[in-house]
Amino acid sequence: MLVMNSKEYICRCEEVTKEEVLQAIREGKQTLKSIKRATRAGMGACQGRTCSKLITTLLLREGVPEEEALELDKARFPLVPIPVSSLEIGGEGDV
Amino acid sequence: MSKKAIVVGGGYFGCSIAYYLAKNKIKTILVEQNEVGSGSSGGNFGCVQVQDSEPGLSLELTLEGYQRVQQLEKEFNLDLEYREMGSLLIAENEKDMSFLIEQAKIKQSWGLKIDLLDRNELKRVEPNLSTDSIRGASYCKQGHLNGFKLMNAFIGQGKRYGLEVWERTKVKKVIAAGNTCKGVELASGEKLYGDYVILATGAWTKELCKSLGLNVPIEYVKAEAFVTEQIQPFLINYFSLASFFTEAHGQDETTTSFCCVQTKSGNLLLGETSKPGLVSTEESGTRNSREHCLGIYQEVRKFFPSLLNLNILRSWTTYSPYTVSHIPVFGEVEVQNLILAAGFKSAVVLTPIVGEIVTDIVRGERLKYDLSQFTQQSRLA
Repeated sequence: MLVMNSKEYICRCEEVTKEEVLQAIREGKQTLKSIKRATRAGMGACQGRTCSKLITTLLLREGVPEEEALELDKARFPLVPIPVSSLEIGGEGDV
Repeated sequence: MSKKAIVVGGGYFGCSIAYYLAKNKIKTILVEQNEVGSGSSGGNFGCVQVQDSEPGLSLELTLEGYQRVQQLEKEFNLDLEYREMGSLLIAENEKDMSFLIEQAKIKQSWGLKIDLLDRNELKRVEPNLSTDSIRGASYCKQGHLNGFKLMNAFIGQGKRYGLEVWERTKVKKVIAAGNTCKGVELASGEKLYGDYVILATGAWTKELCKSLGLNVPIEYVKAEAFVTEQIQPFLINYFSLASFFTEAHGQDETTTSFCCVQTKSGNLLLGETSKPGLVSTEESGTRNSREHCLGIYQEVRKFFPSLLNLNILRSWTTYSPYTVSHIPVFGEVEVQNLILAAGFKSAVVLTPIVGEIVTDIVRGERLKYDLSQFTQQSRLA
């Protein structure tokens, strides 16, 4: 039987709850990046694709100014998970 | 009236210094150009390193710091994900092995317990390691923690003592009258005055000190890393190569000197490629390189081939400060009331002791350590 609990999860990959995100906001975190560093929300396999919108909503609802609340986290290589073996790319320049 | 201090830089050292100052009743403002932990400290692996410290005062402070870091969770009543963790320095050839043997001898004489391991012993200490290309290693007990939690703890606890944190606040220049530091001018034009200014500004320190005529020998490299998905416990120790000391952090060439660690959450952190570069907060110049991808692939294939199918989730780069002498720029310099704290070889382990020493300077206490070798490197032109 599937055991359910009453927690609301904001980040499914890292299992971060709404309460944890709200706690970080109460401690003064105002951006996706700083909430990620404090709670791990957005550090998982999907890199914040699902939770970033939910967190932005919470930030705005908690009265964080739009400039901070709407600031996006940087999308970085590799964008989708890729195995270490596929890093065997040569050449010069950046990814 | 209580003294006033301005700490510039929200990395490991800025956060710890700000905490110890505020705790000791110094009115403290921490100014950070982006967000706390967004520079090289945020890109750091969280190792509480002991083994790589330079013999002498650096090692003495490291050993003091190591004792203190282990007490921080208790002091803060917070989980920092601290664990004791061994450190392996790997030699792939005779030259690196002789370097390790020589270093071990010196550091053992300073009271550090370092063991030299052959391939069989290495296999016992790190069972999933492929030792084919390895000559030997040196091994030392140290620690590991979550660096973001550490910085957040310093800030959170500091705020209880009245610490003010100004994020997204860039310092344009340090204000001095004659040879005395008075405060800082912000990019907004606003001026902050205090009894002491502390620059814990890593790779940016050299530039900030230029207008004072102060020549600070802090260089930097662009360092690159990857984080993988979470897996079961796989890697027991912090793994790094002796070639990091014999080759990397050169001033002209790009080098990949592999190191990796598994975090408490199960992610593997894989680094690092270092490349001399320009400090930039812009997007261009902060992307990872193809060189790094290939370098990390080759190193994983060599040392941990069973990880080749493991997924990479994200990459990052940092501007990692260092000094050619391997000793930090730390203490009160020729400009009065200005304290520099940058260019440390290992960061986390030194955070508490550096915070305490800066607090002693600001309070005018007699210092337990003679920092002159750390400050003499920075002279007025």
